[in-house]
Amino acid sequence: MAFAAIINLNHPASYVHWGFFQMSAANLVVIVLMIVVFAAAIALPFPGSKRRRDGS
Amino acid sequence: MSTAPKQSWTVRLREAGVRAMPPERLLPDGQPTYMSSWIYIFGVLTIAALVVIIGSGTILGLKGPAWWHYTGIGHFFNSIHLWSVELFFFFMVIHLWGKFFMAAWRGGRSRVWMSGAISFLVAIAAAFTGYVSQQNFDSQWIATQAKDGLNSTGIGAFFNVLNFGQMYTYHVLLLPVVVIGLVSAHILLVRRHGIVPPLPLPELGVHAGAVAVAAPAVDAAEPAQ
Repeated sequence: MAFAAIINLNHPASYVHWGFFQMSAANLVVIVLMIVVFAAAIALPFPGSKRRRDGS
Repeated sequence: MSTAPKQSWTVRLREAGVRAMPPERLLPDGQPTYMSSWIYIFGVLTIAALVVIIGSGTILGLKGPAWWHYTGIGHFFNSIHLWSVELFFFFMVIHLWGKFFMAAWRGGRSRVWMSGAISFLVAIAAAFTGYVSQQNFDSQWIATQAKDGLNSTGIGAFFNVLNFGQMYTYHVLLLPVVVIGLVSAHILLVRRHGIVPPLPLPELGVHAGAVAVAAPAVDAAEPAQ
């Protein structure tokens, strides 16, 4: 409900079109978020991993 | 130890179980150092989401459609069920990407990979039957849109998306049993074979076969945290 108060969801979904490609904005947001989280999971150091690599 | 005859099926079953899954593999003291990476947490996050899905779904099933449509607490549990499914697929897809790019089927782990891939496909069907079981205009819309596509494949003869009772049975019984069974098998296989190590780095002179095979969780273990 709080999210709905920020963004009016009471309308048909928004879609993006690139030529033959069509996707709802909501699906696109989720896919982009997944890619960001995936990249972050690889790039960000895991807590304590450096200490173990140093052998201490 | 036991005086039971060797030919007893219970003895054979127990011995086969211990051979297939030694206790030190099933519940290891620690995990390899290479597991200290964020990419390795998405499997357990998927399982955590599945636990919430099953818990919230059980409550929804016990209370019924009028409760989840017309009461505040029913809306709350309906939303918990929806968003735990969203997170379940979110985490599972990242888990899938991570395991795909590290070729997680290496080192005799093909069954681990296949059980995970089939779990993903069955979970999609479980989610779909959930969307058509909501008992609202949304579920009617999805069902009428989906029926033509499904009927064109011939599956409509025994899988009728307009039949609420049938879809609900698939959603709350048949498909959850399959998903839970496959995920359980997946976890046991991961325990048996150990977590897949990262891909080898050629500049360090490490070749793929050596790393992929030498990965039992109990051998390269460090103390659990």
